[in-house]
Amino acid sequence: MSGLELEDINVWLNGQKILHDVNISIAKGECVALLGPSGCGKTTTLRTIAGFIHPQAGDVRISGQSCVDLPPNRRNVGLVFQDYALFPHMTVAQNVGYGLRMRKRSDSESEKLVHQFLEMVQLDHVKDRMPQSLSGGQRQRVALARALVIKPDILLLDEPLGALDRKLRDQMQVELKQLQKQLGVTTIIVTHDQEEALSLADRVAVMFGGKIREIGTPQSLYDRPKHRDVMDFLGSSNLFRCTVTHVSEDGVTVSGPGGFQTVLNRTDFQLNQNVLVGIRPEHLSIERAVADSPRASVSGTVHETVYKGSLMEVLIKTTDDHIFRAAVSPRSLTHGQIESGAAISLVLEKDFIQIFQD
Amino acid sequence: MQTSSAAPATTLFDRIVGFLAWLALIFLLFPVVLTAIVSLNDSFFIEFPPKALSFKWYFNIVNIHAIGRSTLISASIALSAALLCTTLAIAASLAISRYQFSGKAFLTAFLLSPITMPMVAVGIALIQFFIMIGAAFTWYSLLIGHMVLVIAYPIRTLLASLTLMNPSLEEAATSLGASKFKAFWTVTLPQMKPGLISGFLFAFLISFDNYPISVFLVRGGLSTMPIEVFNYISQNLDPTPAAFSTLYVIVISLIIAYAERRYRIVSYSIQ
Repeated sequence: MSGLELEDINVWLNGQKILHDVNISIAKGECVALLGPSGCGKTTTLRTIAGFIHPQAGDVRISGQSCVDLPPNRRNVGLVFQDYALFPHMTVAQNVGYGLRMRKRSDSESEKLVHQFLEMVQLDHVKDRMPQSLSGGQRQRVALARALVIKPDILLLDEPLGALDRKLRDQMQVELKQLQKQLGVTTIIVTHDQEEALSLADRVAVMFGGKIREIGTPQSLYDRPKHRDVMDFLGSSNLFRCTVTHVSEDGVTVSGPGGFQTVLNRTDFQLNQNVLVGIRPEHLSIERAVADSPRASVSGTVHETVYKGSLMEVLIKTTDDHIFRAAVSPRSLTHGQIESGAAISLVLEKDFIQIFQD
Repeated sequence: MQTSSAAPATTLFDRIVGFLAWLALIFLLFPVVLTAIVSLNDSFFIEFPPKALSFKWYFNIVNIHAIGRSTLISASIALSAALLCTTLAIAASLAISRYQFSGKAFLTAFLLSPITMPMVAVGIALIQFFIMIGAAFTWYSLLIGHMVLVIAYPIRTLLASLTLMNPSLEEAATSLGASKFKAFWTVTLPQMKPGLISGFLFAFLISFDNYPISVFLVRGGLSTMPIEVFNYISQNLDPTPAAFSTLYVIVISLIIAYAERRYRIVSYSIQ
């Protein structure tokens, strides 16, 4: 069953079109991340779902019910703001109980629920403190408990981990995911942080210029994006221009820089057409220069190496001056292979080679 | 004690700034201290330094003409003006800070203008207007005059508190199920509290000791405290007004100290 559907949402703000025909259908209990650069319309989408923006066209359905004409307070939506927006004049418990008071629940019931949800985020011991005296991570959990205690149909998270430091982010990421699964609440996360989107969401929707460009599971989106700008935006990638040099029943042969040549099982390209071929740096491996390899490979010299802890980034320059970026485990390299200027051969994992129209 | 590099060394610049700050403080406090010393003078004339000390001029305060009645009028005018203006200022500051409308800049400048206008000019304009409509020299016309005088203060402090308020708070309230009115009442208004209290206090204090506007608007039995004190000064040379002023400064300081302790209003208005 569908938890949330957006149908042909169009939004203009101050005479500018912010959202173009946004369509998305999210299953009950699913967690979807809206990912995109700033100004791509992801926050507008979130605010449209929450009811702060009334779209000029389109429909918002929560559990199958249209709510596009309902004000925010009549939609059962829990919203966690980027800055948490905790009420500074209320204690932690009063903050969490606010939604219950607005729903006119009895004091005893409210107290029980507040206690239960504060316990769930491990903050029952600070219930009488004021929000200003809490740490960033604690504030975020209070905001989360406040949004969840009303048993929302949809949970909306605006850059949920943006304000936290590195270590806390990693910890909260796990906690957030567990909590979301445990409660089974349909969740939408708005973020510009790819790691956050890829690690938290069941599906990720990449937005550009007010449109959803591509939606898919984190892994399929990362490994096999259908659009070159999605590939370019997510993680780092090698995108290089190639030419279709041969077309047969088996597929197309593309040739590119550094002697790159491979046969791809595609039929939608024509001879002599210019295409873009993309591959993730981690799907490249470095081997000592071997001639006549049957695999898709590029020959070149090591241009530079950048040590990044768990990974080593190696920049390889082909004879025709194209730079490839490979991410390899430092342990997989013998000392001689990464010396600058060493002639090597770069092997591309064929399964992960993407080809796009230029 | 461990000395760390955290506290930077005092520079010559810091010393100069510190010296100037002390100088300014002394400059501001000097008249008040002088008045207090003069008020304790035993002699009939204002002289410095006093030859003998006494509290007798404090007991002479009651002999200022109509001091009790005029203080009551001043208090009732100041209280009413402050209450009405603060209430009106809530609406005005919300409109100015929340909505876009034509003439907004003009309206803001207009509402804040009494602060910059010469009070004598305002007083003359007001009395001509009240005579024209036949309402001159009444408690109500005096109240309206004082409202014109003080409305800018609560508007300023409320605009400050609304600007400082996190706009997400009200949205958080509505997303949690609060109606617009409920969200205003339970979230926005409490956030405006420091602005409300400091605006109210400013309005009260400015109205309470205003002379230049009141002097045009009072006559006969309708008189305010500053007017009676000034009349006394112009007819007598003894230190009674100094005693009254000292008492006045002490009472006001206590009120402001309490408000600052409780609501941190002074630090708030400086922000």
